[in-house]
Amino acid sequence: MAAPDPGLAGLDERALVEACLANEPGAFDLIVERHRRSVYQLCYRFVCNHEDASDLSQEVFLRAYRGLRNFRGQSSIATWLYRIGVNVCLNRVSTKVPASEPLGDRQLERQFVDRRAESPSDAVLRAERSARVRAAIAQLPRKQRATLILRTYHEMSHQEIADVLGSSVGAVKANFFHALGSLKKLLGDEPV
Amino acid sequence: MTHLTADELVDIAEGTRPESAASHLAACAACRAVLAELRATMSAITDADVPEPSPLFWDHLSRRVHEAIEADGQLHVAPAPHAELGGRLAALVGARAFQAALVACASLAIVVLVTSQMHAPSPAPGVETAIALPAPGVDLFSDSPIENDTPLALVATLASNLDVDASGAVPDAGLSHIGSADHAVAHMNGVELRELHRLLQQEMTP
Repeated sequence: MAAPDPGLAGLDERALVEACLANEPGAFDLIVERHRRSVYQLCYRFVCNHEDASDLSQEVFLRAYRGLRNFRGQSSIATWLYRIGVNVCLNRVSTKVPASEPLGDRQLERQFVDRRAESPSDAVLRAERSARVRAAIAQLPRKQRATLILRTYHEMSHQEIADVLGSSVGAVKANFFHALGSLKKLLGDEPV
Repeated sequence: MTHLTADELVDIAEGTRPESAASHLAACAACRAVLAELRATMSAITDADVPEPSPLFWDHLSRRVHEAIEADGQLHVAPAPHAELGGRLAALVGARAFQAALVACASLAIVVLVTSQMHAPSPAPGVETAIALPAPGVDLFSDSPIENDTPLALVATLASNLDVDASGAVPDAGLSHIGSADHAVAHMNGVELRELHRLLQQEMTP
């Protein structure tokens, strides 16, 4: 991997895309570096395991690179990447049942979550709660799941979600409403 | 009594629409209960983190993406008319094997060209045959004659991406070695070739 030109770091999104299209070494690497965490987290929420999330993240960036010439700058790169990510993830989850992490990976999760003020027992409870919520979200219908993930964890507006999913703002709000209702039933009376 | 819509309830739960804007809410216990459930569920799921992978993972992911793009780029870069075929063949059979095959093809093409010249009809006895060399000022290594020769252009295009020095296939392919006479001829410029031509004609003239 070529080291990115230090001058690239100061570029705004549009200029960075232009640099990629001009085959500037390291320009796309910088886009990956800036967005890899949020793309990975998006993918993880769809598939609930590290291996698939990692593969899907790679696929998202590869598709983004191939389609870079089609990026018009009408939305942010993050929104554009989310759009690609949702499509990639929805295609994947329609063909594969999400597999949650085995116990060993949950132990890893506890190891790497940085909650320094948290007691070990609180950390365990929180990790288990999170895993239960993620598993419940993974059972939602595709559009409800996508809407809930983008709205709750990626703080996208209803309009942005509508753009990503190719639907109306009203449909996004309805999906969000039903997703929350379904989650309430899936999680039952367990304290979450 | 008309209950609040999903749209209105979501807006109130998210705080983008004040409760006071929906006068119905004060009078409807059912809508208040739905609203309370929405808020409770939103609050409960907000904190559900994604497990943070190892700190080493992020650079590993970047590297994977970079390598995937490089591998993909070799097949997607806009190619010269004949280069795409070369790229796909290289991807199929492996770079070194492809280079060796390419060198062999180039050698074969040269042998065929030379052989066809050797088997061309001989001039009638007594007719003096001049060695056709370019006029002074004509660059023997100009691209223009190749462009007019499709098979030769194909060989030239395939060979253009070949790093002959880096290819371990060269010694095996029987091409010239550095220091050999044919290597020296192949690397002469136009002036040197014309001088060679003059010397050869001088030697061959009875």
